[in-house]
Amino acid sequence: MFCLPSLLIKNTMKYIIICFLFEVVIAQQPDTAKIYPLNEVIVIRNSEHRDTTIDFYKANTSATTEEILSRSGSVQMIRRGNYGLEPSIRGFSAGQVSLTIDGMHIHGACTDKMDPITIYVEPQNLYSIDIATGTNGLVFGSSLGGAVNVQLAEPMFSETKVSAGSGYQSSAKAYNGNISVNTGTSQYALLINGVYRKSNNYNAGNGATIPFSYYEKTNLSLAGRYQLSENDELKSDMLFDDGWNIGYPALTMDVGYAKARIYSLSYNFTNNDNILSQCEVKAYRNDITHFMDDTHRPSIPMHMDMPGWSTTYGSYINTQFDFLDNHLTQLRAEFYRTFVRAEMTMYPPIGLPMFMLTLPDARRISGAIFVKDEWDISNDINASFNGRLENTNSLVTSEFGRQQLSVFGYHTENAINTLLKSGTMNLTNRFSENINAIFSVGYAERMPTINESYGFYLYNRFDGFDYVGNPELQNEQSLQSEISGRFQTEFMQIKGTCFFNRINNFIIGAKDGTLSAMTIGAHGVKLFNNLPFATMRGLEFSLILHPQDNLEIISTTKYVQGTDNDSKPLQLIPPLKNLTSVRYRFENITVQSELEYASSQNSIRTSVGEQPTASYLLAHIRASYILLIENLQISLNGGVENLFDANYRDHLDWGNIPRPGRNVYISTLLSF
Amino acid sequence: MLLQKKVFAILFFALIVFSGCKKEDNPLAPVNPTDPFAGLTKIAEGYAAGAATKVQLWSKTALFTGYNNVFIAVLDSAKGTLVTDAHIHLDPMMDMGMMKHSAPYENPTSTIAVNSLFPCQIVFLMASMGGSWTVDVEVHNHTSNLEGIATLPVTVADKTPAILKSTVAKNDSAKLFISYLRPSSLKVGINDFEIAIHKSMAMMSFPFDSTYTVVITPEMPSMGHGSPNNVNPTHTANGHYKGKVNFTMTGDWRINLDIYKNGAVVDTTMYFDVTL
Repeated sequence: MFCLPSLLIKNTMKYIIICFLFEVVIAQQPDTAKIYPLNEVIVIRNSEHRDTTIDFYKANTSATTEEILSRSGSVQMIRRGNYGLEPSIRGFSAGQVSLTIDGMHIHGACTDKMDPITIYVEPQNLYSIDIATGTNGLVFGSSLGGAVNVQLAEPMFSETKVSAGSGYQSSAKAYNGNISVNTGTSQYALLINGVYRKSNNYNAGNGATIPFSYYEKTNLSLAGRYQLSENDELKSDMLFDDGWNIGYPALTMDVGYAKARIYSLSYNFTNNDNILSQCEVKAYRNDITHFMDDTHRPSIPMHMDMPGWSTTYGSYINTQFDFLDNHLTQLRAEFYRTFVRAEMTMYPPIGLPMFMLTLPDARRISGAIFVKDEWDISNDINASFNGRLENTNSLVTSEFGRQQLSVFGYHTENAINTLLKSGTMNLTNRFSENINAIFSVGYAERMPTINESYGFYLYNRFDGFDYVGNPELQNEQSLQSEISGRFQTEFMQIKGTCFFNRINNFIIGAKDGTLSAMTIGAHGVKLFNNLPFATMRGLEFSLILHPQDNLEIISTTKYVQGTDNDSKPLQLIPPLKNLTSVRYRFENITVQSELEYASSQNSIRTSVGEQPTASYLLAHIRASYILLIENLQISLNGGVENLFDANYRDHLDWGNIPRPGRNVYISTLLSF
Repeated sequence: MLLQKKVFAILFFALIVFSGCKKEDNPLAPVNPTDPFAGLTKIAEGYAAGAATKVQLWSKTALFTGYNNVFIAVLDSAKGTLVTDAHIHLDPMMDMGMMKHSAPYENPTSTIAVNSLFPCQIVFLMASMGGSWTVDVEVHNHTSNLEGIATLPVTVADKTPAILKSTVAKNDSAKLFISYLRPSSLKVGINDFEIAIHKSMAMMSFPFDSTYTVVITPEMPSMGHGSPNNVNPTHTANGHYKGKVNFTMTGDWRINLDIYKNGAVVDTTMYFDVTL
């Protein structure tokens, strides 16, 4: 049987390194080892680090980007189906976190957030994932909960490499394949990646099949680099992602077809001897199309079409200066424009079709300036300051859209213009060779999302309410602080973080009993409004033990609490979670066993009908074997996830749908 | 080369002129706005002998069951010119053979014509199928000081969905006619909602009534939901009640009416169906 390209990563790029660095850009600086971690950067693909064997994040070689993200120290995924999981950072999600691909803003085209942009990047096309918490993500956007920036893999100069492979997962009878070709001379380089995935309905623990959990997709990316001189080059990326028949068991509709087209062209300059040491200029455009589909669902009261479209284009210039000794300054200016339209047409058994705009031709233009300065005050003390100013202009461009919102008494003829001001300060102190600590305070503002401002009867299956946007919402404002410490020896690293975040004007839906629900079966209508404030606080703890060269133990623990101004719990706050993995390498064979624990979550927002979740404990076991025959490298991976076939659901999963039961996976990768 | 350029220039110019001409030919462009009959269709005409005038009845559309905006044109029989200062009184009549009845109407509000015509309103209570409608127009020509009556036969068609409803009041058994003054176009968003309430006194008199309380509840029958922030119609003048009705999407809507008088239920079963 011919299996299309498989999803394994080339061996040289297969290992994952946890780099605790400020930014990927700075990662190349030779003396950054002393800089204390602020952002978590998961480097997936780096041939120079092939001997570093921390294969923690991408434990399952068939894993998707979403699965890698979910293993990060601060990210948890909101799950509506087996596909399209939405990252949440320390309990913040949606408009509170910024998601970018190579710094590019992309707006989902789905009114139900079925299409977080992380689905558009396959792990084999991933260079790294940069996860910033709180105001440390300001470089990527005006967000208060953090940022996830996905860096695409770059073609390598003077290298020719081909790899292909495939994999199979038993729980969903899913198979996938990939092919990757890198070709390059000293002047140009080209990288082509293709991925195909097909997943059937998966089985939950105890064997029940979860209907509408299937999906199928292809992802094709082309990247090219052209060296202009020793110090500068041109780079272009094109990404084509097509998904179809994507089931969402927790929603009332599936996705018939989802298409993303992402293009960028950039100019890069690097010269460490210059005052201007780095400069990147990028222009980009992306178009997302999203068609929801209910034709496979039995006994729907009424068929409906719900297409959505988004187009974003923009550009940014990112520079790094060495003005002063012991200072590193980053300046970034960006501009982007987003247009979103989503429609709903319902076909009643009798009578005319009914039409409305669920996202009413909204366009948003943003211009922003970001400045950051890192200052090595002494060998042991480092301070960094950053600030972002962003001006955003939002408008409903169609008369139809404005008339719809006028029904709620909103006047949207005029654009909403708002200036967002954010900044943060970090202070790092190295107390000794082994111990350092960081303290940071920050302030951030974020404006309401297009859904929150202009959405029109967006049905939210989580609480069963139709949501209507509110153009008069105030910006969310967050005051946050974080303190963390790290103890490190040759054999171990312990890190603990404690954070606090107060959000004024917290945006949340509030039920309006006078309104009647549009969606058949919905409980009512909620209007977005501002709560006086909410707070989020939590702890993160990680332990890495390296007692001998071929043995490694990693354990991460995360906990967050969120409450509103009445001290009532916020919704979708993850419970305490721990993931512990033990990894043992013997020559070409690596064996890894994991325990994954989540406590029960009883701090729930009862007013929105949130359900408590029971605790769960899962065991996984994995093994990999690498065979080298001259230039040909064969890598075999296999394992069992959810070994004891536990039937469980995570608190962030919508709709009480259990997660996959025992999953046996196997994959191979050939590369030369 | 020069010649070629000139030819192109001429062609280009011609193209612009041509496209300009095409625009003027556009049938949707407004015709001469001073033409009093612009956009109107002549429904009927007759002579008001004593007043030495010809009387014409014009309307934007053919007449239908419900509230009709009509225009009376009074022409001097001798000169053929439009008389613009006259007192007009209407008297619509339905002859069903065995019985006759009139209908609610609103005479011109002024003796001075508006753009040479006299706008007035008639609520036809039924279609011509059940009998024959006439509209008597009594004219007092103020210029010549002559008076006369013209009898104009008109044809009235049924309207679907209905914009006229009748009921017998639950509180006092009054026979009521409720006319919906449906705007020429309805849109998603906020729309004017205007109704007129007339009472039947015997069969020949239909005075308006300003004493009712009206509550409107729009709904989409196929979905079972309504719309928010509607403004209940309140009495303005001459039995007209004005409010606002909101539609959140296109499709078939039903505007339910609950009518009360001094707190007592008059009728809660009435509705107007609209499509947008």
